[in-house]
Amino acid sequence: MTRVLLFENGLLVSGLTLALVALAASRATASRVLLGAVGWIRHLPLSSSGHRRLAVFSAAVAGLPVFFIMAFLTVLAGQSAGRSVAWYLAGFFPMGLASSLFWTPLKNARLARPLAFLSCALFGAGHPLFFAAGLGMLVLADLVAGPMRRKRRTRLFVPFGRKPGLEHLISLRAVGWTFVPLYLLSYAVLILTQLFILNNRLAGSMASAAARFGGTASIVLFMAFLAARLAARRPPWPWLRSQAMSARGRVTGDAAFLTVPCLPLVAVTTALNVWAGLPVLILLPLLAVRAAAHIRDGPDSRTGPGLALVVEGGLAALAAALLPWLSLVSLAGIPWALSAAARRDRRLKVSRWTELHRLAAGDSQSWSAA
Amino acid sequence: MIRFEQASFSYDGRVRVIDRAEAELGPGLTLCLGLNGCGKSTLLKLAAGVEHPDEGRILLGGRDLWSDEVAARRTLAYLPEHPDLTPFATIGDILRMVCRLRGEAPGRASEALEAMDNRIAEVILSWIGDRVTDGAAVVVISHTLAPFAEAAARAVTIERGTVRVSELPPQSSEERRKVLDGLAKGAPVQARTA
Repeated sequence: MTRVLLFENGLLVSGLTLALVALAASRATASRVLLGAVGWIRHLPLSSSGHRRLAVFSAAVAGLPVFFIMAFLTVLAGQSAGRSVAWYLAGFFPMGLASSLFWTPLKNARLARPLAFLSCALFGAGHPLFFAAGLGMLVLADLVAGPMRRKRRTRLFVPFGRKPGLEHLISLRAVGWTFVPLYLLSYAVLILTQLFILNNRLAGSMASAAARFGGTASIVLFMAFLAARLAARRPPWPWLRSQAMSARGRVTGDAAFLTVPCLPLVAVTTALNVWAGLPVLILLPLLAVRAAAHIRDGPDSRTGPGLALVVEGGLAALAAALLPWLSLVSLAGIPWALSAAARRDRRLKVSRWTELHRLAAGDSQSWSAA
Repeated sequence: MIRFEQASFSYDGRVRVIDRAEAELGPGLTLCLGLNGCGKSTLLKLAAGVEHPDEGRILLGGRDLWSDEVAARRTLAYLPEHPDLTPFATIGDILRMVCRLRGEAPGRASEALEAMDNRIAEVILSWIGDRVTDGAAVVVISHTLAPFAEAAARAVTIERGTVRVSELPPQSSEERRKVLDGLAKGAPVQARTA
């Protein structure tokens, strides 16, 4: 696929493809790294543009693993197509800078962002002239960018009607609009599942198995991204642990918060195939409790809750597709999963997380800075 | 009554900030003293149920803080050294939640909000005085000893993870201040150790 996208459809497709991949990768890294660039660090003796350049550079360095993977795939595709990839490889790091600049909150974002995007696309074309033009665009974007803009204070969402418990309201406010792209992603998985069923003219048990797999996969993806967002935006709240609430209560609350938005996906799975909805629905609570447990993996987790849940959920999706009765067994696993998650919640070193990454006074990563 | 039973805690799994603490903090004011980084805040976090001990257990009013979580915490109020709030809730939201969890009337929330406008240090000192009069066990960490020296019933010091409780005998304010000042600076314990 890399070969087709980079070498067989012209420079425009190659440039746009790599630019979009770079922007998607930088979205994840830059948004987190840049959180730390708007706090106390601003008092250091550095000009505002110097400060911004350092922040962009840090975000680009954080995204390097993704660019290494892109470089690896490009080299493989180049060997397969018998083409030189030197200019692609040369363009990856400046492309990381441009994509990080794209996501940086800037005073002149409206001017700088199109230039940064154009720069990404030019680097992605893998041609010396375009590379030079990309560098020019990057320099221009840097010149017009202006200082970094402080993020506006989060506006608190107050739902109409009866308020849910504050714990859920905090979770809801923390994840914000994340629901929209997640639903788009999950419904795309369900649409692909339906297309797969129709395209292969599956019927009976095969169609049901495919719908079960697709339905569970859509839920797993939704839950994994939502859990990752929740873990990043709503870290453990140390003070809340001193309140009259049990660890099991906190875990159950999170599991319920993760379960409810998945119900429309179960409904669509049922609409795809009547026999697919029930096993997926039965699997849902166990997946939610496991997601709540992974949210509590703590600061030492290198992957966050998302990847761990995708691995576990992938296995669950396979099991649901091949052996639907196994979803009934999952019900028996819920109390165990709940106890394990509560134990993990109790054992969290919340102050350690606080001191390293969150609320220590003046920490630019503190919630108040976010 | 707050009771530590062989409670140990470490942030990194290697260095024990609190090492097999065996202490009983009864009714009255307990001052937690010592040099920066000796483990005072950690001890308070353990007592408040914010951190879980790696070993041992902590009892509040005879209830285990981690096996009887809700009941033990109903009698607990924890005021951390730095404001520990979330940007996703207003102060009113938080106060209402605390009232709900404690089973208290929501009216208490607005009373507390009114108090926020006053000089907060005075409010806290007066609140501590009231709780001590009620017979509650109050543990305070402060490098400013003057407001608490008179009322303190005991002092807790931590040295290399070892927790020591020193009951303060009745003595003149001056002597009491001198003892507390020494303990705060890490001087050897001279008061009676419990």
